[in-house]
Amino acid sequence: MSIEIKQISKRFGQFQALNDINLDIQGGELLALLGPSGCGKTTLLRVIAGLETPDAGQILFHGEDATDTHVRERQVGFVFQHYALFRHMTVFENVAFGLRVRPKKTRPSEEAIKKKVHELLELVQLDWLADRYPAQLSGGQRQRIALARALAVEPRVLLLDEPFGALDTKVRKELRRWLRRLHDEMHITSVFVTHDQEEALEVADRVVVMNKGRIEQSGTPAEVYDAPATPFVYQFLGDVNLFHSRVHEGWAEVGGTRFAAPEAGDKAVIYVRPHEIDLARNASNDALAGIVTHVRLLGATVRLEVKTDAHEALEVELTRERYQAERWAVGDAVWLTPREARVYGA
Amino acid sequence: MQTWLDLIPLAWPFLLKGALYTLGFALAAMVLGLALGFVVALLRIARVPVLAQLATIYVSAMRGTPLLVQIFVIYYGLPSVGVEFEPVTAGVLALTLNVAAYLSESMRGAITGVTIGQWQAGYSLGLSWWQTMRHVVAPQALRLAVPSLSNSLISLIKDTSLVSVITVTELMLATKEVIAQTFQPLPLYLAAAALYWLMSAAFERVQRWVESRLELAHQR
Repeated sequence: MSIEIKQISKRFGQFQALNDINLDIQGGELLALLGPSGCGKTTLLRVIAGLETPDAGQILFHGEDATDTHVRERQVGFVFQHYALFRHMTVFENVAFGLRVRPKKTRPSEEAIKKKVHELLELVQLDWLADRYPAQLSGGQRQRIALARALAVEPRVLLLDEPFGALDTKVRKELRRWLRRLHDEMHITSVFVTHDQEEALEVADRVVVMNKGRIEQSGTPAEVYDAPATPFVYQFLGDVNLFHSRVHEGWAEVGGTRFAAPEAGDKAVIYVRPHEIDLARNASNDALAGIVTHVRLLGATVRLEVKTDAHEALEVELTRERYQAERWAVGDAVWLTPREARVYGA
Repeated sequence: MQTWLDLIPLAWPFLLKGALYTLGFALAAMVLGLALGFVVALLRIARVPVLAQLATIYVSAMRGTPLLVQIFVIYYGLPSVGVEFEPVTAGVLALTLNVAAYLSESMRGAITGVTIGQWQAGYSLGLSWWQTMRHVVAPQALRLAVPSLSNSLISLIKDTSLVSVITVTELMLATKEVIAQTFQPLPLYLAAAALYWLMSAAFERVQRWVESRLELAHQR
């Protein structure tokens, strides 16, 4: 089912949580709302769910105005950040509950409920935990039960609030791949909120980057990563080195390397990712001279921190093989040349 | 000491009968008080216009005035405006109104102590306010509320002694009557105290049983 979000605004006291948000969500899409804390992503998700009422704007579900529809009539499945499982019910009862409380006319038979719950528990691979209470489960298991509970009522839309936020890195990575596979099987329109760019880029069909209550950019993971529309998106999607430059005849400079700056005024900010910088031991006119001040081993890659005249700490990332071949050490003199860059007007 | 033992056959039937009255008052006021307290708590939680404000005033008035005064107002005061009660009815009414105010506050606290996420989880599954309250929030609130509810209910058992002032021969008044005949205040008041303690202790057992039942579903 498609969702249209039209000119939604929401204030909490003096704080403008959402500022004129417009967004179309396609039926069957898996969409990530990505941004730092306080950017409005969770508020937007809750507005879609009907857990918050917007001050202005409209939400359309499949073309129908749902702005004033109560959450219980919107048929959305909501997975809460802290799971919000019913602690006084077993796992089975938690999942069955949404069906059990339906009025007699629409309530499935006891057998149908049992069958459905076991199907869902198998889907989340936790059928063997049916008789346990939520408090006896691990975080990852609770999260999957919360998902099964949300799916039991056959929602038209699945909304997930920081679904993996409270889990450790390894479980989080497993679960997000699992969520992606699950979505590929079920094709239910899904929106999830995250502050983790890696998670958004890996899982989602489309990423919506938010900042200060506005949408900065919306696009496929490749689009937002390779062609960030604003400096904010660029910075948010990965580590970055910043250079300031004057613009001469449409060109900005880092050291002696020139980058086209067609849209910038007379000053530009140049963003270079740590892995887009080349290192050399030999002096050259175009390169920036610096001294290696720190070496950080990060598994497959290595980060060097380099001090130059203009910058306290530039970050340069290289593969472990190159690092080992070139034997960089703290105190070494180094010449830096950016290979790629994005230039924005300052 | 010999004279104390001699008192037993004489006093026993009176004290037992008084204790049964006390128990009856306590149980009646408990059941009615829990029901009324729940309604009052719901009115305040759901912010029902007018009724919620009245409930707030009611709770404040009941907690802010002595039970003895409330009993006097109901039994000796109201007849002057044409409302008359039998002593037993007046006693149960006063105790119920009084304990319900305290119980409603315990319940309100416990209900608000259940996180908002539980409400929202209920709504998102399609439940109404009442369904969420009944199936999701109230069962969890009950567990939070039991210790504090028990406090009020144990107080209630002891507070029944105050209805002795309106000629109801419960344990306290029965004891006084036996003392009037035997002139043995110390052993008889001690016996009455022991009976109150016994009833409270029995109630504590009930509380522990309820807690363990509720705890089954809340292992951490």
